[in-house]
Amino acid sequence: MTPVRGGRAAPHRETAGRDMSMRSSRRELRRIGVGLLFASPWLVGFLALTVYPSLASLYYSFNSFNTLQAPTWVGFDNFSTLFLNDPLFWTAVKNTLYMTLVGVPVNIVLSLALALLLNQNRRGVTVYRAMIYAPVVVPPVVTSIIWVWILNPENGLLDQVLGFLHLPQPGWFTDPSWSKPALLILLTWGLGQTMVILLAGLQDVPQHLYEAAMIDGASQARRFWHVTLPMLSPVIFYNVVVGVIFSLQLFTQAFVTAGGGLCYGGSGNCLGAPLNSTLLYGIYLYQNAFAYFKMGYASAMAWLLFAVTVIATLLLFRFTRGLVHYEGAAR
Amino acid sequence: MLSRQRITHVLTGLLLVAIILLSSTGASYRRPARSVVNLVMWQQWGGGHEKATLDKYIALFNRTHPTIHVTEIPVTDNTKIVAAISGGHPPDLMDLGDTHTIGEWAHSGLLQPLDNYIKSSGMDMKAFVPAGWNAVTFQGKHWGVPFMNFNIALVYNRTEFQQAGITRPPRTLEELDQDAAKLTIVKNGRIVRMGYIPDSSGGNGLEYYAWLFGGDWFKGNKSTAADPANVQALTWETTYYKKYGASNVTRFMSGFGQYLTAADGFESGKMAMIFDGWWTAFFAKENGVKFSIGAAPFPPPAAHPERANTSYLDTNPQVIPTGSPHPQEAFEFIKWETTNPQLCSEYAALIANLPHLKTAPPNPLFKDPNFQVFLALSNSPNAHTTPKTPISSQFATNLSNAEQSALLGKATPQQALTALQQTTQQELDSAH
Repeated sequence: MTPVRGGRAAPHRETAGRDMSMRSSRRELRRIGVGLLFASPWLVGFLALTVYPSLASLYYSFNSFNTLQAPTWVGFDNFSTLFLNDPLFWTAVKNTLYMTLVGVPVNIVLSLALALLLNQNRRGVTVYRAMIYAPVVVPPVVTSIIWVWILNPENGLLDQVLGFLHLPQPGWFTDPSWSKPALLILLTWGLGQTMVILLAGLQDVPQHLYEAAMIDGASQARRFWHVTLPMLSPVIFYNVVVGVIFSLQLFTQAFVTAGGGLCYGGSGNCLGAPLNSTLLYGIYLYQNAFAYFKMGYASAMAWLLFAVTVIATLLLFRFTRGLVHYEGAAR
Repeated sequence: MLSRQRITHVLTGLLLVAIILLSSTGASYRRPARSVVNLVMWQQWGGGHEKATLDKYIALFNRTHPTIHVTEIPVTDNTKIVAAISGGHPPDLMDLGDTHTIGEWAHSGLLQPLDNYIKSSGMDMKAFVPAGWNAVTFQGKHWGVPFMNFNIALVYNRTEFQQAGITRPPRTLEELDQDAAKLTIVKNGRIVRMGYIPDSSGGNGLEYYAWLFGGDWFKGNKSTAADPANVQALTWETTYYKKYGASNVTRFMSGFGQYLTAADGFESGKMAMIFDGWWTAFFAKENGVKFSIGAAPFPPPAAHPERANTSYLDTNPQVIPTGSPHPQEAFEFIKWETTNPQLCSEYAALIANLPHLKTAPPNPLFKDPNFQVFLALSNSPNAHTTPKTPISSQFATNLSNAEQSALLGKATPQQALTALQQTTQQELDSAH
């Protein structure tokens, strides 16, 4: 054990004093170099595949660029066209806001309800938890295709059930006024993710708070309102933030279900089908970039989305300040 | 110790065997000699008999041309094509499924004009059906060589016609509407069969009906989308959706399987008439469909007999992308493939496409009265070509959305097409 160390330490002592400071700084540099070398697999990837493309897209957002010819500087033209001259942009914004403002609350409320149900100590509760979580493990493309089939208005499973019960049978993904609700149903299928995090939060609520509330004579509803919700608020808040970011970037499910398979494997004409009702921000960005090859325009959209996401997150932090209670936080 | 040595021996032995096996499989491929140029061709044919036919002729070329070796790869995704060319890794040549993208791709520099190759190779352009060249021309230059032309007509289920007591295909648009009504079956408020749905098959719709009504889409750099004739065409389309209810029609169509399979609208017998190519009959036969299939020119409005035989003619353009590693050899293959009359005739018969050469010798298929309908249409003075513009993919999307919004009753045909004209003009102006 010691001989090795001693052997290495000896030369240091010999030269000590001559150029101590230079040596130590060189040593420091070497250590940094070794550190960087070890971090390089990630570092190279980060610089080449994240930093460079991000900065390049920022540059392209001020250019007209079709990937083949050299980009030409257009200043803020892309942004002004988006805001003033592109009705489809606003359609995409509206659709995305719908998905966010309706989708996130629905997801949180349903997940919370499920988490409360599954937080009880009943027999087989773990099986139910696994069942609710299972759809999360299925790749989103598969889930989407299955829901296209289930919601097929001509011969889908749900259509037949609704027909049997003499209920209205909407056109779901093929009807512009039902396509977004259909998309929400499909997304609700994957709420296991949120549910599991809320469940973990619920199990973290200290029992003594409930006991104290019970001794004070609080009803079940009051215990939920005054103990469970405040204790759970950081977890709910986290899920709201993540949900908003996810909704603003929603792509896969809308891409696969567009038109309800009316144009399966078809051309780019089906993006946002029917009638641009599922033309979400991400879909329209993709369409501009990879169907029309307006890379500058698409880059401008991407940076706008980034800015909106940051602002939305900051606003969420600001307006929920009084609502979120962190245990042990200074008041 | 001994066992470890043994294991090492066994492993070394296995490794040797693996090396021998791998190298021998490598050698079993006909490895081209050193001086051979390898050409990669991206192609967009359908699977089944279409790909088999292409492979057959590529093998023939490779056998007869010892210095060039062509390999085809199916690439139907246009996004991938554009990404590859702009990324500097294009194939040597491409065999595109239609000429819709030619204008846009030529405009953005993805393709090479072929005029110099055509001239220096002494290719006889006059041997080709002239309309084929029109389809590959954009701004005065040829961006592809026509190969296997195709067009569409009224393809109908003769068995269902007979059951409905209809003895011959319609000769006017009005007759078509009446026949369609007779062939349509609605049970308990649900559509069971439609005689005709104007926007149903293979994506052929408003773009073509406009010509039937005397309209068109572009005049030079001007969009003419809101032309009264186009509005009339779209209005005619909406009558089908109004009569049976837009949501009922879309619901009915959502039950169709994938195009050109036994479950698609026509092959499953759910649509008695479609506006499509004769390849639909070939695929139907391949898929074992029982009913008899007929073809006729799509009928013009009764008041306009001069618009009889309105159709379009398109082709599978053979193109050379910008940055192709071996453009000279690629063109040699294109010339071999496109200028042999015997090959043209056989190829066309195998996939039910139209010969692109005037000199193609007759073939038993060309005597089929149904196929003759298509042959005759390709020579019709009313044969159009799809518009070539720098904004073709955007125009295609916007046209389809305008059509849908009128069919679903979200806008009047006039509103939809006025909006389309405005957007299209805006896009055209910014592209120039």
